[in-house]
Amino acid sequence: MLMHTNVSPVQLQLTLYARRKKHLRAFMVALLLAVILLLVGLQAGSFKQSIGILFEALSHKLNQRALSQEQYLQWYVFSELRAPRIFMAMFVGALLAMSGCAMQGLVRNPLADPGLIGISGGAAAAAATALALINHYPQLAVGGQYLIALSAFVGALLAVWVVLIVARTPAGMAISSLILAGVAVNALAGTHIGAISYMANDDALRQITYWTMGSLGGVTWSKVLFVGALSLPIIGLFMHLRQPLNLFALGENEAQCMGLEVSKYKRLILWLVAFSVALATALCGIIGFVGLVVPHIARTLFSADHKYLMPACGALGAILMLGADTASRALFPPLEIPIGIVTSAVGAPFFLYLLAKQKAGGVNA
Amino acid sequence: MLNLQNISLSHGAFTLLDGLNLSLSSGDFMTVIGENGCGKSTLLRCIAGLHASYSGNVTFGQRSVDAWPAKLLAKARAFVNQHNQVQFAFLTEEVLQLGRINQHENLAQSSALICQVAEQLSIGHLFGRDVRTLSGGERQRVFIAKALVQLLPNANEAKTERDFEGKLLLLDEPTSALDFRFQKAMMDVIKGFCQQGLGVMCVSHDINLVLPYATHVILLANGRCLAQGSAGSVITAQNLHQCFGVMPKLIPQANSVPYITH
Repeated sequence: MLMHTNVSPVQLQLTLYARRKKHLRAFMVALLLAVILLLVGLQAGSFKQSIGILFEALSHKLNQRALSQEQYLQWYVFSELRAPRIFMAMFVGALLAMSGCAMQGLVRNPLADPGLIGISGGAAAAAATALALINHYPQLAVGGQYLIALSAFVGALLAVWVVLIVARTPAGMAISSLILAGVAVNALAGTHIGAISYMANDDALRQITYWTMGSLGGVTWSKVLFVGALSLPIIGLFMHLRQPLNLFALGENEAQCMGLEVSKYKRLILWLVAFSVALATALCGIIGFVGLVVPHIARTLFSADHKYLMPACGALGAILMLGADTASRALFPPLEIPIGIVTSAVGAPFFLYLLAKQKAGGVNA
Repeated sequence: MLNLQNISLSHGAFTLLDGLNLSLSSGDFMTVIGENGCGKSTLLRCIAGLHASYSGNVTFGQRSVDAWPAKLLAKARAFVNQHNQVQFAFLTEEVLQLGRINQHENLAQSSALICQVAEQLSIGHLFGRDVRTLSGGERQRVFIAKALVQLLPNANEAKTERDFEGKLLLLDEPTSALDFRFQKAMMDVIKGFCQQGLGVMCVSHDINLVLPYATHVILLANGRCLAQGSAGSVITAQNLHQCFGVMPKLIPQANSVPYITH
């Protein structure tokens, strides 16, 4: 039954190689962009950094010569304020974007967001509680920062745990009940935050609002090292999930028949997403839309194949976060806009655009 | 190579499968026929290992189908679902490439196998296309091709006349979306693989299309086996009436498989 078909194996192999090359090239461009943003990010903000002076300061430091006051100031702002912040932005961006990619792949819906299963709701409710408590009992304020981060982290995981318990059936985890349970938990968290906000004084209310808008302010090297040390194995695991996610894209039954232990991987993906988003949220507050939008952009730029999509999401997430952080400092200096506002201001209209495009009947990216 | 002993499955008070016994050898083409909802797809899903809660034994290649390591089973048994939906912009060749996911081989080797199957199923011209933009029939061909690609032995293994010895292909209405030409062409291709040792179990409503290819026929009614054996012995007006509740007309054909009409 030979008909209008004549693809030679060599041809297919060349096409697949060419695609790999193209993706690699796009990846390199993305990395280059990251470096440029990094340099621009240094400049942005109320304090102008001079790369020239920074290099002078660096060479003086290496030669163990004394720094001038200008050099010292530049070096201090760079090494203690800007640099840790840049690293944090990149780690958090990569974590959020890769989580979004895994989540969308798992539920087979390009409009899914990690927040869907209650992670950010749980984190916000717990953080708001901690903030209100600290405000009420000033003796807690000593370790306040850590208390807030820890409770946000625990709150996020607790919310996911509840969602997973509710969605569990004898035949495994049902994605539809997972999402509905997530909606319910998010609503519950919203109510909890509402009640706390109602009872809180102005000061606490302001802090709660500020926390839910997300911020990269107050990042220290110890926080960066902490996130970095946890991020690397997480990113490694996300990379390990590339082929399983490809199989999930064909449907759960299909994936099972092709040798994937579906329920095991489903649990692994959900907990990995929960852990990484909880980590990012605990340290930086709620930063929305990165997990939703970045996989879309990556799919358009690279491929739907998770082999390329996953690393692309990591790189693009880091870049986008860096860009958002730069914008948050550069738009209205000396004012610093909370980064969650920047990502939502860009992400929400983009999401609406995607919805409209999907509704228009076209095949969505 | 495939043996079912006393397979039963119920969902609440509803009995889906009721004490089924059957066996299939390498090279067999078994057709499962029965009215809507009589348990045909459920049977295939049990054999595929997708239903955990049945009672009885499904033995595949000397061991219980549940005892197979998932990846090993995936190289020996493939299942083509009735409906296939891909949500993301995967290309035809990427879907086929996924069929080789459990094999240790390089791109050149997998490409050669994929092109070989793609040529047999006439889907080479769909390479480079987003599978979501394919028509129902084109997509069905791509997914059958993916299942065959999944079963092909590794290039490092010795190539023999019987590449598919001991392998099992489960088909749930494989021709439902295919046009007049490809219905027959698909059956011919699959029959060709049977001659290389592939065991096929095929659920179909297109009785007249499938029967001439079938070495075994099973009539299912309410989860029970009504009759099984060769097409000539199972396909009688009496049996079909019992199965579907209407009396068919059987027109005798030269190959001893009657043509069935209303």
